[in-house]
Amino acid sequence: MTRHTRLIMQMIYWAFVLYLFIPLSLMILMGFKDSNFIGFPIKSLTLDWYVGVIQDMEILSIFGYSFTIAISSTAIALVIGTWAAMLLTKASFKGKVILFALITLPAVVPGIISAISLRIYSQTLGIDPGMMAVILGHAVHSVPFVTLVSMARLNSQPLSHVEAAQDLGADKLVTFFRITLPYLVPALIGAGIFCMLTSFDDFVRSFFLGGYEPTLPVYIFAQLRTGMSPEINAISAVVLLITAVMGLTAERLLRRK
Amino acid sequence: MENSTIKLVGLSKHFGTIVAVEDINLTVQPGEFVTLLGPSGCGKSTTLRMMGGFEIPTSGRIYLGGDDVTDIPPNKRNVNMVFQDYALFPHMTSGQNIAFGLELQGKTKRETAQRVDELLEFMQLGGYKDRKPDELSGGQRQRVALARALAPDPRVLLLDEPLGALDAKLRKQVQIELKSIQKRTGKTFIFVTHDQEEALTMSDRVLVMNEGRIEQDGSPKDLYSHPETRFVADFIGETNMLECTVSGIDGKHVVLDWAGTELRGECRSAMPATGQSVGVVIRPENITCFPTKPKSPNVIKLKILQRVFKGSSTTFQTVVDESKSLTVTLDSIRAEKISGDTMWVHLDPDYLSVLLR
Amino acid sequence: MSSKVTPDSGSDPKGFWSWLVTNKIYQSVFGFLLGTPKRQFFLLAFIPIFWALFANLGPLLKMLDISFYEAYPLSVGKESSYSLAAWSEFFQSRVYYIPFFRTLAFSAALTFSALILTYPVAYFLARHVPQNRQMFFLLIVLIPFWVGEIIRTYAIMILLGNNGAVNIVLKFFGLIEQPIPFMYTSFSLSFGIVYLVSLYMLLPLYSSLEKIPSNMNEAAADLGAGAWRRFWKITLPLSKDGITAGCVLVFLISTGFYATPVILGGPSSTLFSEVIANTFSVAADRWPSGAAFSSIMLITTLTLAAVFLKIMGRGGKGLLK
Repeated sequence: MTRHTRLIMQMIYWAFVLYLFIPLSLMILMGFKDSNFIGFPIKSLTLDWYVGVIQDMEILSIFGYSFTIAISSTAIALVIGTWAAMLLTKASFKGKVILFALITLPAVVPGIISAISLRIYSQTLGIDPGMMAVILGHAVHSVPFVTLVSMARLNSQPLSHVEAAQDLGADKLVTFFRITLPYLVPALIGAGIFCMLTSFDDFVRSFFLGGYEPTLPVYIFAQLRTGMSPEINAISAVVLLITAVMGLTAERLLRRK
Repeated sequence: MENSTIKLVGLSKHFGTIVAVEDINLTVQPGEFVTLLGPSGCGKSTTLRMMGGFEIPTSGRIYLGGDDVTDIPPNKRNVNMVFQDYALFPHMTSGQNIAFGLELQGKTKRETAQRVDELLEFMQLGGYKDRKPDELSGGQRQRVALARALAPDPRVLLLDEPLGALDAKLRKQVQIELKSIQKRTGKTFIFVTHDQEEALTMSDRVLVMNEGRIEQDGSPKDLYSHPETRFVADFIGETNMLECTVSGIDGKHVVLDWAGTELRGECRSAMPATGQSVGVVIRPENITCFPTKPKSPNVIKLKILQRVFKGSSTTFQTVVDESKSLTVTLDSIRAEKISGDTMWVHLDPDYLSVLLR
Repeated sequence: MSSKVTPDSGSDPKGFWSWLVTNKIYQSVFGFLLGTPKRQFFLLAFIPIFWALFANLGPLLKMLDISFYEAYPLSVGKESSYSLAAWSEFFQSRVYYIPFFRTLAFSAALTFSALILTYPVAYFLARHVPQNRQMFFLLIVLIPFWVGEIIRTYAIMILLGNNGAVNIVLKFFGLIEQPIPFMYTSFSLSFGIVYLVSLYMLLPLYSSLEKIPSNMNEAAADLGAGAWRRFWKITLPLSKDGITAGCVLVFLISTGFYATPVILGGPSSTLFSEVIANTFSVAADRWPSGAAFSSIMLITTLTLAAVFLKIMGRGGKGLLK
């Protein structure tokens, strides 16, 4: 293609980057504003809002609550997802395509419907809205992702590694824990971080399945309904930072050969 | 207990309608170095994998030291395998790789460590215990794989084209090493390869396989000098294939008509019938040559078309007449004595093998 | 070759795996469980099948079931009775079916907008950035997408508010005197949703464009095809898989947003997710209606997605060997 179109392409790309970053940058910037009122003009800057977030016990405990949910749901998703991936890659059986579709089903159910159906289901199972319900809801949402990532990785595992282990006397279980699992680990760490991010960021499931104690997105949502405040900006900026670090780490692990 | 290490009886393997291996019978003596040789897709790897327990035979039995192991899974068979790609566990060091099989035999830490050190020493891998496979050279990886497979002290060691990944120069060296390791350990080796040179160099016994069947089973020398089928003659080494008709039997020799030239050849299997069309083979280097006509049967005058100097030997492309050609290989020293564009050759009946198949 | 056996001096423990495989309990339990291929399969299959049925399929089936109830949750002492009331309710009021069709049309339009917006970006990334730097360029656009729905929606609020950045800039250049009320309109909502979903369009597009061998274009150029012709005849058809995957993904995701329409939308842009959610509010508490509405929505969106996939001719799942 000509140099001309290449230049246009490049401009479109950077315009897209700006489009993505301007709203977030503004949000971070507003967190430094020395006023209760969100919007322009900004007259003076302060760190007070950030300091406030770090000192606010309530917000810290919400962070903690969100993290607990993220870690627990991710742990469940990793176990189930790996298990399902092992079944779908290592065994051949009738109905495999149907099972694959069922395992990955939550990935294509629109968010609100997923949340509503889980709310109804947990009610009929006698699980009250609260931490347990949220953890299970997030796990249901994360399993397809872990399954897909693990399957991709398992498909690239040389069959001879598994055969060599069996040849040397390992049964199926020992082979899994000593050979296959170590091979999966980088992919699982990457997938796990993404599941934690998804759980940490999730609003709709947390909102419908949660009890009185809010997760961070639910808390921010509630705050927003009463009005904008630089405090929310500061919280959001902190979340953004954590998210970016986690995401970059996961990306590195997932792309590793 | 029987005196054989591994014994295959009527072993067959079909994948759907495709016949991979058909009715293989084989008895291997302790300490033998047996090679399954054949082109890709001939069933040699499938046969090996059945011995290892990775494929379940469609029919037939496998005996290991007299016990029927046909239905025993690989992890409970006292047989170990060296894989084509070595299959070293990438997340473990060489030491841990070698220790893997020992740990699964329930050995204590000290026993394991001792055996690992012993094997590393034996394979001249002394300083490489803590290296991961990707920090080793191809040859070193191959030796770690060998040590790992030998560690649990298997009754039979199976090797699935383990030299394929090495470059040509290293391969020659490793062939000699491998043979010497086999001699020193006294283990039974069953080796699979498509490389005839590898097979001839290392083995005590070679089985040439084609389309799932054994074509010929014999010593390397036998196979080379006395091929029994056209396939074996063609697959191993360079050869002259003479299309002849049988004109009679003369004692232990078969009288042949090679498009007008009478020859005497040797037939190791059943004698052919008169009038039958047969293939007759002779290796280019088994043809002896004379500057003038000697006094013996099986002598032909050849017209030299081309001579190719190959260092220690020289190859002649020659013809008898328009329809018959021969390739002759001579020591370069002898070849120098041949001048002009004709020569006399003697086709020794003992090297002129008559093939019925 | 035989191991030299040295006399045992002191204790000689086994490593973990040696200990495990010689452990009597392990041997008998797993010897049994792994004893036959059937048992091995059962051990491998039990948990995933259980999860697929009870965690994935269960909630959707229960939702369908509840949608036929007269009332739910049941008050104490009341028997449940089945009725079609919740389903027929949907067709009886504009308040329900208008947002429903609005959501479908809206999501389809947004999907198309996201495609137009991200295609050039994906094309640039895949075709014009050197291979070794593609990851870096991709990461730049990935980072914002790791931040959740709520925070990014909030960021859009700050951008589009009456005192937001856009209005300030417009005012500064004297283009407007009064701020333009972007917020709480279809515009702010569309802007927000496209902002949220464009990655799900970008990634499939990028991976399909990246797979097109570059010599294909060179060959076409060699044969005298112009840039536009090359794009229409080669690049576009070869990126069809990416377009299909991206469109289905974005469509399904954008129908499922709840917080974003609540925050960015207004009364004239009510989406179906809000209607569904309202039936679960403390005040309304009409779960069967919500369940019926959700079922209608799920069936419609999945059918549309399936039809779309069929039209675009995509079948096989690459991961299943």
